[in-house]
Amino acid sequence: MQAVFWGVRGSYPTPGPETVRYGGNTACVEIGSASGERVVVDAGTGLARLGEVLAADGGGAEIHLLLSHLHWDHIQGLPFFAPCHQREARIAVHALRPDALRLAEIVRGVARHEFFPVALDDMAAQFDFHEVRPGAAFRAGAFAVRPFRLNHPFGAIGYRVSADGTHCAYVCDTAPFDLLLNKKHFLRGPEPLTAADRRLLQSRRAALIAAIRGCDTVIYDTHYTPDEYARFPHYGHSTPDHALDMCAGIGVRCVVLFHHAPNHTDAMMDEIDATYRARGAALGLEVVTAREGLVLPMGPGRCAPYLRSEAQR
Amino acid sequence: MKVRFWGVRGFYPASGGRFVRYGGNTAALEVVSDRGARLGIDFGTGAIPFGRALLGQGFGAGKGALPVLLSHTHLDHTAALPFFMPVFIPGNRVDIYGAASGPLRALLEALFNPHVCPINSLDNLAATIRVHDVVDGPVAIDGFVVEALRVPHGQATGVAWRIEADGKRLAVITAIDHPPSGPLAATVALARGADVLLHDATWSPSDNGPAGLWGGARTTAAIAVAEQAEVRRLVLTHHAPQHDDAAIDALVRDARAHTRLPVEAAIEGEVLEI
Repeated sequence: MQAVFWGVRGSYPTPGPETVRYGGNTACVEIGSASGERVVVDAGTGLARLGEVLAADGGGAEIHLLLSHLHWDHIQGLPFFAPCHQREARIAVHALRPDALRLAEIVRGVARHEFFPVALDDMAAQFDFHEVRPGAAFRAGAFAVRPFRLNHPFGAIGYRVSADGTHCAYVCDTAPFDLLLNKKHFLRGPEPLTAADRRLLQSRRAALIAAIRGCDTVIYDTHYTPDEYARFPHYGHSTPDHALDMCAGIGVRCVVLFHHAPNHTDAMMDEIDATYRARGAALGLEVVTAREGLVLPMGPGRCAPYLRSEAQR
Repeated sequence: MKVRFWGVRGFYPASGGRFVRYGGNTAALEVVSDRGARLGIDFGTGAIPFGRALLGQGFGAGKGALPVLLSHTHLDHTAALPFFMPVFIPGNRVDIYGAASGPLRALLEALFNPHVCPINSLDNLAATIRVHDVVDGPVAIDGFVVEALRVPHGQATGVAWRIEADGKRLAVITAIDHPPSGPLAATVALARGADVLLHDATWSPSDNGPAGLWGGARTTAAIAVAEQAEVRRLVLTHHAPQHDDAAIDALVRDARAHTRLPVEAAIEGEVLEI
């Protein structure tokens, strides 16, 4: 099994000379099996590039798209994904149904002609919407998928994805599970926790740990540095320290830092990378900082990670 | 009058080393008159660094007021509104002018829909946001003489703008589908005699692929409007995210071979003195 990182940025895309090495596209990860099947996790702007590469290879007829949630930085690439415009393509969209509205209605409601050149209803591909329930495992082609709930405004889910006897997990977007609970409404700042909030946080934390236990690789929302997190704890993101704390001692081999804050330049990312590789090593964890074009083999017998050539990312 | 290009890309931002010379941010412009009047055009991702720069111009203290003209509501012209720093500071005022198939405010509100944006509603922004639906004709904006013209763009409604100050004339046509027969006469009239025409030139004459699906003008249409309107200078913008720096170089060379007008491609970060 391997992961290919097409977009690693959080909040909004950050093109420009200061993000050339780690990349400016928003969240999109392709997970591939040894048999050549793939699931795509999240549909940020990185998805557009993946679509071009798939179209050039003549692939992409059958796509499983797992969405963590529907915030813009996780869906804004979908209308520009080449397979959406291919009549023979079937795109299965798996996502949480966050409220009384059906998932298909929500996606139609935002992928509309007022926001994108081609509205969802006018796309050639066939779309199937699958509402994911946390805890209810399902299959996506060659992959066994287990969704679990995260701590993010309006709800988000993580996925444990298994194939070839190897497990990996995508934990994004999420705040840690101690200080505050991200409820549905807009938070102006941290709010005091009720006893029921604390119980809910405890149960979600336990469910997350159960889901990532024994994973070869965990891709984790590490948007903030600790200083930034202290200022914005209610925005629903974590730090690399939170990720290491969650993954240490439960049989995880590798933690991938992911969903980099838009203000984090390549120079800052180099510092974060060095700091947390050392901190991870002390805890027995390999730390990899996600960058655009990174191909990360996972599981026993894996080869070393490498970067796709610039023309191919 | 000065124009600063904060974002010159169409459809979605183009990240990576192949796009750094022309820039990868989506549409955003700043226009400043010699007397210091300022307006913005569009909220593509280029508006994010623009918003940060404004913090040093009174907006950081909640004392700013900015009119922003929208060319249309596609995300490459609106997506940065939830990340435009001045809107989070009480006391600032942002007046947004544009047109859509329905009330513009309702559409912008949909950008903040809690499914897709944690801010949840325009009403949660600390600054005063006023949204103005425009029709064809003059739009009253302090320090400028502004004219709006609604134009077709896919199924959406685009707006072409003419902006005058200091005896200079700028025409901005960045969201338009001209008919195959030639440029829309009304856009030629709007741009007539402009010192600078900034025109959508997403695609070269030979591009295919998304060119037919996504809309957007070809360089040939931009040149036709510029020549018929007898403008002094043509600036191509809304670069396709598939076009890396070398591709835009080639597109400009090809455009120059097809007109005697001065033609250049908009470059992120550059300031054009009109």
